[in-house]
Amino acid sequence: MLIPVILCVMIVLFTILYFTPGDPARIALGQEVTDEAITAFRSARGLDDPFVVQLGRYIYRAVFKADLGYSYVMKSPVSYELSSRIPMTAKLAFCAVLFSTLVGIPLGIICAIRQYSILDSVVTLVTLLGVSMPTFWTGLLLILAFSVHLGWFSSMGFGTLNEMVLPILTLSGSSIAIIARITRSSMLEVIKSDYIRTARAKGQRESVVIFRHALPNAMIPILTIISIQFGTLLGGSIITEAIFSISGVGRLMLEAISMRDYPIIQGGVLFISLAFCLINLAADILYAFVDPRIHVK
Amino acid sequence: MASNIIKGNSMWKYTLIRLRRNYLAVAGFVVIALLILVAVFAERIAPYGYSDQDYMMIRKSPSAAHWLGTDEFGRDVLSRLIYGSRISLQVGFIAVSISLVIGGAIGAVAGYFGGKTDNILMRIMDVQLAIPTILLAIVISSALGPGLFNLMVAVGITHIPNFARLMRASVLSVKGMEFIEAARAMGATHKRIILMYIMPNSIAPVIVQATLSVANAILFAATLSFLGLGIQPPYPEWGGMLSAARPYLRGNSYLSIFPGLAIMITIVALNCIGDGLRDALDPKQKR
Amino acid sequence: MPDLTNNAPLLDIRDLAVQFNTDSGVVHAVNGLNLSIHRGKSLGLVGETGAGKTTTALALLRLIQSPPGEIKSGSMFFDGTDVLKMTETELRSMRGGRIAMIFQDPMTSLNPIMTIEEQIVEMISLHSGLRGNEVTTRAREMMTLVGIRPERGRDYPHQFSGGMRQRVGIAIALACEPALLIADEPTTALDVTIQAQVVDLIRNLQKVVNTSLLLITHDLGIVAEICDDVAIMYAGRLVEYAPLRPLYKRPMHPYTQGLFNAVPSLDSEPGGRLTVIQGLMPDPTDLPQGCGFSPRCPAAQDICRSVACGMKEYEPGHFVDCYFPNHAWEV
Repeated sequence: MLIPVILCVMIVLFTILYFTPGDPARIALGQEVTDEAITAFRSARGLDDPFVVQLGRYIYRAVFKADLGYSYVMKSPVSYELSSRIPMTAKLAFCAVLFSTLVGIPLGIICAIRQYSILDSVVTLVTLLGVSMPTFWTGLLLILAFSVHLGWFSSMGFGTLNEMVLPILTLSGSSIAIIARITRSSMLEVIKSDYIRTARAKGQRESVVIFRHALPNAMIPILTIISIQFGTLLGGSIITEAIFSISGVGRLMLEAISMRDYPIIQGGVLFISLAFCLINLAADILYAFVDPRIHVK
Repeated sequence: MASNIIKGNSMWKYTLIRLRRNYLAVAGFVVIALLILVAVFAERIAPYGYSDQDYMMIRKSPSAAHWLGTDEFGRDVLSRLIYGSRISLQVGFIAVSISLVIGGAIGAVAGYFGGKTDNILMRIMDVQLAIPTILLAIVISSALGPGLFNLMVAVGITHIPNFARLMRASVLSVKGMEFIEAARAMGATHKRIILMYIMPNSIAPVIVQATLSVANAILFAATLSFLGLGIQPPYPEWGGMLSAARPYLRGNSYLSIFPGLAIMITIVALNCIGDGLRDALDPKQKR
Repeated sequence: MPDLTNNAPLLDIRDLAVQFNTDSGVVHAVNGLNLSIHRGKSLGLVGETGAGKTTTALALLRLIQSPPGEIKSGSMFFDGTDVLKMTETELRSMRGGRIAMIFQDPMTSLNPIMTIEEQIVEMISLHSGLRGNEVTTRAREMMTLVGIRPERGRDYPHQFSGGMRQRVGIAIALACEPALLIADEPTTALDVTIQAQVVDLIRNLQKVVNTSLLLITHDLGIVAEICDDVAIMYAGRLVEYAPLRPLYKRPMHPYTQGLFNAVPSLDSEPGGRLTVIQGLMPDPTDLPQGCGFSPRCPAAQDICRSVACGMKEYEPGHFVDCYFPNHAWEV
């Protein structure tokens, strides 16, 4: 499934950007250029070939030569630009997923066990706010509070531990809320089921009932949401990178968008989609470990 | 959902009763109703025009004359927020209508006809889902260029798969039921069965999804404008206002707080309505 | 209920009331129930869906979810100790160890992501005091006892049929030789052919393990096969209690009579109609005054509608909660 989906993503992206107004030659060479230079550039780059030929060439080079084209603006290969930025984005997204999982799942479990308690209400309210705050606003507020007023954490970059705090909080805020909500509802659903009653009727301790019987059974929806959140976080990293001036793939793409540097946009989206698909694939494999009824196809 | 199907009016009545008991959902409805009023009567409510500039009043903190202060061009923040509600609500509702109609149709057709049709349509949706939604919205809106209509289209397209999958799932769950068999036996056409029998019975989860999607669409619109892709200045989009306020975060933090609050309150209200509707429509959670 | 024999009963439930506080009102699931079971005996608790049978069993194990459930009053003496006054630790060692339960739906009552051996082992290691290999050995013994090849222990519940899963449920329940086995409609979810096997299995194992049995069912046929005594439950309380034979021979409560009339027997005339009990069970949020059955009872008089009769011993060992037992059932 992975390969055809990624091929289709390539075709879709290429098509969207191919038909977007704006001549790549003009973008590369600037406005102050003779028509001859433009024509020469276009024919040298094969920009006058039919759409299908260009599309085929793009896919052929991407698949067999790992060549995602050439950034006319940056004057360097897209794959080079991307690969220098990927580690930063990967680190950011991975830290955010890890953090939101480690916080979100326990929060959800506590709420499910203590349903209707004050704690449950407070967490429910906070998670409601969490899913409702735009990432960029969360980031601005965090900078305002912890950087401008308290001066605890840096608001620029993502190198040192101190610099990592605010971007991770910003990026994982809504994910924590979503993971906690799903964990809560999934646990509540499972706790009501007959086999949990069976486990209790065996005289098993409540903690064992929750962690050995209920949680593993509640894991499938939680895993699903975590893998979806990975995508959301990769997307959200664009905003986080913009706010905290982190030079990752997201920021590269934003610059590319403002300069109409289409090869970079294509390559960036392709990379993020590929990463997202791989995460989903990993989740599918994990399902089979969690639940013996599911077989990996 | 199977058990509350075909109860017709009583289902909606019951839903309403349960919804009314959910104070958060009621509060959400009130907030959204007020917001719609504000948007409709923006000219009468707003103390100033959204682009009225007053160079004597640049970046002034909240005061009696300007309740929420003024921005870097001396424009009244409150008035801009009031006018901005128009954009957010329009984008939210129209974008979701676009995705609801297209996605609903795709899902209904896929679920009803099944087989190859289903396979092809759902694989297309899979491809779209492989691209993180906000990223797709960014690409589409950068391709379409700025503007309210383009923003709606970009946000609308990204939400299509949600509705397609949902509609397909509920069509599949209703399809096997006996009253559909009965309608088919009586010679009803495909179109009639989909429109008259399947759609009404799939409506509950779609309403929930639509409400939550409006919230998401407003968030997306704000995000795109924040990134400079959606609504261009001087039009007062909430996300755009936050973007413009960024350089003044240290000196004039109120500029960054109020637009964000406006977004958050709207989204919270919509999420409360959505959650309330889901709980009220879900017969499993009777308590 | 007074003692029927000299020795104290294994289980003695007195005046039990359980209610559920729901949005649509307080559901009175069990109202002043009295019930006792003697050692080594088996009692059939019979009633319609919603009569409060399962609630009674779960209340005995203190497994009523709270909220919304609540044990309002009563006492439940199990082997001399009031279950309602037990500590959490005492309850845990009672559940599974002294009182074990077989659940109605074998499709949902086993943990789908644990192997069946793990699920049997869990029970044994909680209550038997066995350690290490002994636990596994015991689990395999139990599997053999209920007719599952021990090699299949590594399989998961979804790889078994309903009947086989119910055997697993029985193996779990009997693994620690409980003093009381509660079987909650153990055959309802099964095919008819499998039902007979499971009934035989329960009956034989009850003798082997020498446990008392509380069989919850709405199937009078199964009761006749297994039970020594029968209790008929209606709207949260007992209406008739007697040893098997007298009750089957001469049901006295109009409701019990109605139940028997609704079952075809060999004596029924071919083509003859079965009698149905008119009306429905009362709304548990709004129980009628007096006798719970009075709105549907053909023999009901004014007094039935104001004050319930209470259990009366009309024949030795045959208790009926009715002023006018034995009233000829008329349609």
